[in-house]
Amino acid sequence: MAVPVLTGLALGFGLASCGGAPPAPREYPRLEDESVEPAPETIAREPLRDAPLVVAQPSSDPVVTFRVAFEAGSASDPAGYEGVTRLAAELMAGGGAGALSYAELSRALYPMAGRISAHVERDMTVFVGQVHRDHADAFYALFRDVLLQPRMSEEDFGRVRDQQRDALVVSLRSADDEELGKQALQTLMYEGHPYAHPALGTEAALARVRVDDVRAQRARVFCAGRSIVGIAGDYPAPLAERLRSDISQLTSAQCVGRRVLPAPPDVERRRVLIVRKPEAQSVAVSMGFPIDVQRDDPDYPALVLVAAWLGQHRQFIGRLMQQIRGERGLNYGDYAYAEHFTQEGWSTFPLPNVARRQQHFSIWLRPLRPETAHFAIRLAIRELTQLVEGGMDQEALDRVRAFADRYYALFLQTSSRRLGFAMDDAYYGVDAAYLERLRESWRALTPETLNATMRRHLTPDRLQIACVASDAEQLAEALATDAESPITYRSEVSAAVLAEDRDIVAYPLQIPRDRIRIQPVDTLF
Amino acid sequence: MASAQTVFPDAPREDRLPNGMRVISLRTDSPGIVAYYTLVGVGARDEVEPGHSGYAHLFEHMMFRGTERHPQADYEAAIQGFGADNNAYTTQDFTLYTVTAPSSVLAQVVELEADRFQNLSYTEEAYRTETGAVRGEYDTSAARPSTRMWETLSEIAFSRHTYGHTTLGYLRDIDRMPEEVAYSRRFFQRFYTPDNTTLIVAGDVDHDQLLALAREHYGRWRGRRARSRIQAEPEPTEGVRRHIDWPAPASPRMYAAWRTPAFVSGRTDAARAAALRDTAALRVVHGLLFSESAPLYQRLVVEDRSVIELGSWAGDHSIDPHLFVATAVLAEGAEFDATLGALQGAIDALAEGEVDAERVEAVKSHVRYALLTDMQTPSDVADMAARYIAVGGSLDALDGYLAALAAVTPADVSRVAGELLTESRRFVVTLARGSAE
Repeated sequence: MAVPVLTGLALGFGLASCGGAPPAPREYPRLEDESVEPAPETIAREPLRDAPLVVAQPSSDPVVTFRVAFEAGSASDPAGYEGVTRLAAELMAGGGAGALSYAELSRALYPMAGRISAHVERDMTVFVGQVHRDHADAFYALFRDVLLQPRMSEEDFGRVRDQQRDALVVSLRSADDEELGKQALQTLMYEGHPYAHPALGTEAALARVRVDDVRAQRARVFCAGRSIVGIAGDYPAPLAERLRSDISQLTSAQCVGRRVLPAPPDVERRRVLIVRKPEAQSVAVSMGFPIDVQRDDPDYPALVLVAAWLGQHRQFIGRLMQQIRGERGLNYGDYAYAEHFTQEGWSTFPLPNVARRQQHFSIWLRPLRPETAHFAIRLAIRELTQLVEGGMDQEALDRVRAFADRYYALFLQTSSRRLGFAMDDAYYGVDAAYLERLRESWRALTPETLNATMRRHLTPDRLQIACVASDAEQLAEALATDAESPITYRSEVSAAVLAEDRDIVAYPLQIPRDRIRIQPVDTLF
Repeated sequence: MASAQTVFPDAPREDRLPNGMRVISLRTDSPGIVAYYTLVGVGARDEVEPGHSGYAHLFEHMMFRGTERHPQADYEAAIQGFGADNNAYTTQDFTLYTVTAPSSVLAQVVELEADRFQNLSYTEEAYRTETGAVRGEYDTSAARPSTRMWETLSEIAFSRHTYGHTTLGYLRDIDRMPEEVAYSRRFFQRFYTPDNTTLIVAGDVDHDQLLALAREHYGRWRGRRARSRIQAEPEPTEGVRRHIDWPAPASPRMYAAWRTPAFVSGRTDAARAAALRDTAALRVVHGLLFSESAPLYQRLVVEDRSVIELGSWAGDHSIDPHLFVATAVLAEGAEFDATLGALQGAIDALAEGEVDAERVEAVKSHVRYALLTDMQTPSDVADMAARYIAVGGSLDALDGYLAALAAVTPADVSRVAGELLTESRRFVVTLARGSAE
């Protein structure tokens, strides 16, 4: 049951812009003031859980893994404080704790090669600790302090904030067009919604936030009643219970339940956001739309197969990869996803513990030469449309099912990943393990049931398209007028490809100019 | 003391086929999964002809183009049917093909992989199309300041040796690739030979079964690796510094690099042991100066916050003399000279004998435990083995390296800092937002 919480002090906003004087900076109430909630509207909240959910997976693995996930992420950032949840997590994982300064903590972890990291997504934050079993107890004492007694000092805060600002303002905007395109798609799909801003926050909020706000945010959201804790490997048996009872202590009057999420914007037709970045040498493209399917939904396994057929991440089985890279050599890779996806490090597998309450289907085209971008966007949308309209036949279903049935087992190779997936199962409240659930559903699928499921959820007419491009006006104009996008190759391609191209170059996307927005990169986030 | 026996769960097994190909198995407790890694001793280092950088990496792509027996579509369909994770990567020294698959399909994987390494066949059209994907990969990374910085650092640090270009190659050479199909075929014949190939299989594998399969499917493979006439790089006599004006917003950043010896070199056992000891001592310097726990790191990043990120490349060993690289992202307003001075000052202090013996032991412990915790999957184990075989010649190189590491003394640290990490051997690239490109 949702518990509405009335909040006050929405006063004073907007008054400053009256008259001729330059507007004064907005004065936001401080987060640490318990009587204050900065969001102006009434906020409905979910109840807190009575105790942490616990997943223990003892094994002979000499690497011991602790995962402590909180049902809190950037969607928990109060308005005006975008990025504060990630600041809190990074300040905990990268600052002093208990009796130790950050320098002392680093020195204590170093000889055991112990690692403590935090990852913040829209709806979830996970702290991961890993160490060899030789040091499990000594490491746990440090990990525990990071979670229960972080110092969150002013000095550490200044550094962590500088790093986060650099990651947002410099690295994301300037040095990683692929990630920028993905974040722009989130902003477009979730306009006006708590998922709209990146976990890194916004430039304005990072400039405003103070260490007390970050401490207050930790107290509000990193609570036992929002936690799922896990331990795996060859750990001393009492550690599982210690972890549970320690995390259970994370309760206070400041803890609040999760904010009830509004529905994503109900957009019926295609829209485009072009991020204008003058120095971009290629065009990054992400597209997608919200779907009402979570891991616990009976339709989820079918959509996983559909996405795998269309574009399993970094695998050649995907139709988009075959058509755009394999047949035409237009870019490095082209993929599709049935839920939010973050790649784990250099592996090709998804990061666990990035669960969300609302999901989206998406397609990612890696950077394209500007002269081929329009063509590739057409090709991808045409492929998706043909798939939805034409459906998959028995042969295609059998092939992708055989692939996925084995390939998805590789997601679970380490005890840390097995633990993470099991915690996600606990989060979604499902009673069978991820892979078993998928396999069982896949076995029962027929082309008819698969295609019916696909058509219920995948609607190419609703595609929201985000691009990062230098000549944004030219791309917008080409898209808006459905101008032909002729393509030339430096090599001979097959007659079949050329025949298909004749259709693709004029494939109508039907996106009038008033549904195409151009935004300069430095005003995004 | 650490040894390969404590790093690998089981003792490795190794055989050599009559044609020179090595077959190594590393059993791990990973029921039902094998990592089937094919190491080819060719990297950007072997790209000696002017105008032809990037070909080792191009083959990482071309190898997925199929054979007459198993055209690309068949190969991919088969690999997909196995549910395998199939990829590859290229470094300056080697190319590694990485298949991770259910152990139940090992025999089929051997057959497919043996076929493509012996019988790769591609049309000119397929070749040209794949060069487009390579260009796309270049575009993918071109927006990153680190790409340009690494290209520049390689150029100023190596005037003769092929380490002067990156594995992706010069853009001008990538753009010429489509016209070079004949050259590409010669490149393949020169380096894709059994004596230049090592099969490394980790996980749920039976060595005798693997060996029998390898004999059957790779046994008829013939060929000798061509020698690469790589020019030796003269020892540096004075440092070089280069600045890049970056046309987009970027925090000021710096690569500071010092010329270091090869991972292992020398003809006699004693010379090789001495070289490994230098390599191990340099690894300790990385930990002493650039880990989060290091006083230098704490001073620059935590206390005066002139540096946002500080790191170094610690694990990258190489066949020929290469670089010890420190990387720094500076806070706005911080000066390159001050940061560089702080790095060199900390190194010089080590050279002068200011080495904390307790911290040396902490670094040794860290390296050992990091190795152990990094090897969690069959792929991790195969990858680790491949890297040491590629640059050290055999799995013994890992043993030797760990033994050398255990023996490093504070005096070794002072010696390598004083002899190798000096200003006259230093190459620096800085980058900041500027007007001109």
